[in-house]
Amino acid sequence: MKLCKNRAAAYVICFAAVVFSVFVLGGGKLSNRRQEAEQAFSEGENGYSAYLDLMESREYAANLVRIAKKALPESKNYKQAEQLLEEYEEAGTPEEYYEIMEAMSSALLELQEELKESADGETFASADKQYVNYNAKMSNLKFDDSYNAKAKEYNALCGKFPAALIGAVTGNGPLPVFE
Amino acid sequence: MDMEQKRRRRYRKICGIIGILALCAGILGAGAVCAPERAAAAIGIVSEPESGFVVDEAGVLKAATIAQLNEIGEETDYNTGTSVVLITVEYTGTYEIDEYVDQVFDSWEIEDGLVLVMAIGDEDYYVMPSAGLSNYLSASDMQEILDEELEPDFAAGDYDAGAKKVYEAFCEKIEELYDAYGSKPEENGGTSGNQSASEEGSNGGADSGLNGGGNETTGTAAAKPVNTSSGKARRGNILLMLFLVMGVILFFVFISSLFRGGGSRRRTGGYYYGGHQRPPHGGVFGPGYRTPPRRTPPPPGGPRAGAPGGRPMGGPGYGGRSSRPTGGLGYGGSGSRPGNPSGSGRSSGSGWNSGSGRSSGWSSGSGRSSGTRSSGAGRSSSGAGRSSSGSRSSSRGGGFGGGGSRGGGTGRRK
Repeated sequence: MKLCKNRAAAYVICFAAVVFSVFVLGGGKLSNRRQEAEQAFSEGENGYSAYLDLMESREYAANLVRIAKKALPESKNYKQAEQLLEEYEEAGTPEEYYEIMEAMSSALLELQEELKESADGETFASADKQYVNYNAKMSNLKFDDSYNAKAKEYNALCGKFPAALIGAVTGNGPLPVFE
Repeated sequence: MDMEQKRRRRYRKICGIIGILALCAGILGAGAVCAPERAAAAIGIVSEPESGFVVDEAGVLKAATIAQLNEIGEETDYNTGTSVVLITVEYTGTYEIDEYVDQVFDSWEIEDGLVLVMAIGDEDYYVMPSAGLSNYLSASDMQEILDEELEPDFAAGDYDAGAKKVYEAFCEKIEELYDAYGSKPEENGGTSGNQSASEEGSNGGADSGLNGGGNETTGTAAAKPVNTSSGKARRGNILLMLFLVMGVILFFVFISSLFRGGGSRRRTGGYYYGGHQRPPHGGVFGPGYRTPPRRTPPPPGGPRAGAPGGRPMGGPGYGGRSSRPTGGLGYGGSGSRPGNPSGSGRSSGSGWNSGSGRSSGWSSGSGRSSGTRSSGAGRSSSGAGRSSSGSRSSSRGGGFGGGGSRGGGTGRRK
């Protein structure tokens, strides 16, 4: 074929083949690994998953917010926590959940401190019970091997070259690890 | 090579490039994993017990009370095929109390029954019947029972006594209704598809109790779907990458077409770089100088015969043919200007399956099925009418029919 004898065309084809193999094949492999990790996040194993732990912790956080709403209606920590509860509804990726979870944990910690100082004993005891349950769910999240292990594997793969470049271009960045 | 062949060659190149890009886009698009959408789970709802109908999540009931209420509930279920469920919780989490009751119906798959939830921390309670039962047990009846049996003790903080009284009252009422309407639907003009409950009630009663489950404060079922991609950001990155690849390829094609070597350079005259260079008009010494005429050498020997001396034979007196460029630009090949390969009808998007990249396939969902419910009765709810959602065939004989949908409820606050 005359096209194949053309040097410029040959350069183009070679370049296209390189780009294809690096970005398309390599990117596809990377994204498959990422999807495995995300699936582990939402489905987990044996009925337990990181997502379930997060959602259950959200329920305890909501209870704590209700208590604070009555006891400390002007507290900005309670309002921040209330807003974060709504953001759980909007979140969809592990990165988003992780950000919300971190913000919620710090907001609840400060809220608990406020309740300890300002609220009566019974109210604080009730709030503390919810806070303890919330932390228990956070602990489950940290020891969730099904997701965390896969996320670490993926991050190790993603950190190498050219996976890092492919990940940056295709949006397959590192996944958060709940530790 | 004529214009037609050049056009064909160019066309083949364009098709080849578009084909490669389409292949890339197609593979990228096929690489997208579309995870199936899953229903939202009843997270945060008390899980149903392995046996019995009473769950004391809030820890306000005595063990003896729980045992007694479970016995009463078993008996009512046996006699009427109706589950009467009592749940105590501190708070209802992200749910409103009526939503919580509704979720219990879904989560525990209660088809024919009544659910009463007492939220101790919120100082609220709510009761909701199934749709079939609501045909016979009105919201006013339920409110009356709540006001008489539960409210006084609830307000006083004696949750154990209040729960005991109200549960017994509801079970008694249901059995009365069943005796009146449930067993003889034809005689009493019962509606809602009551079956021959006398036969099925006895059979169904043996099949009492709910499906086993854990006693954890967790919900069941599948998880909320998670976006497998960063959605728009990832699709944007893939498209950006495609455009980059396309741009680089087009650049190479353009460069190659500029320096295309299709064969030997065609000379039509004129000036060439690196080729044979003819002297300008008038010779190398300038246009005004004329090279001396050539003289034919004299014949050997004597004077010439018949030839005038010094006169050149034939030809013009100039040093050579006049040279004038005939081509337009003097480049090799035809005199026409090389065509811009990007100008001949190539559209950037033609023939591409640009693809949607990786479709998430995953919807974020709302985290809980809202549905629409019929109103319930409770301490705080006004009990606005909500139609039920979904219907399930009853797996227990007897009962009041209704197919698993909800009836009107009522609560503490009016």
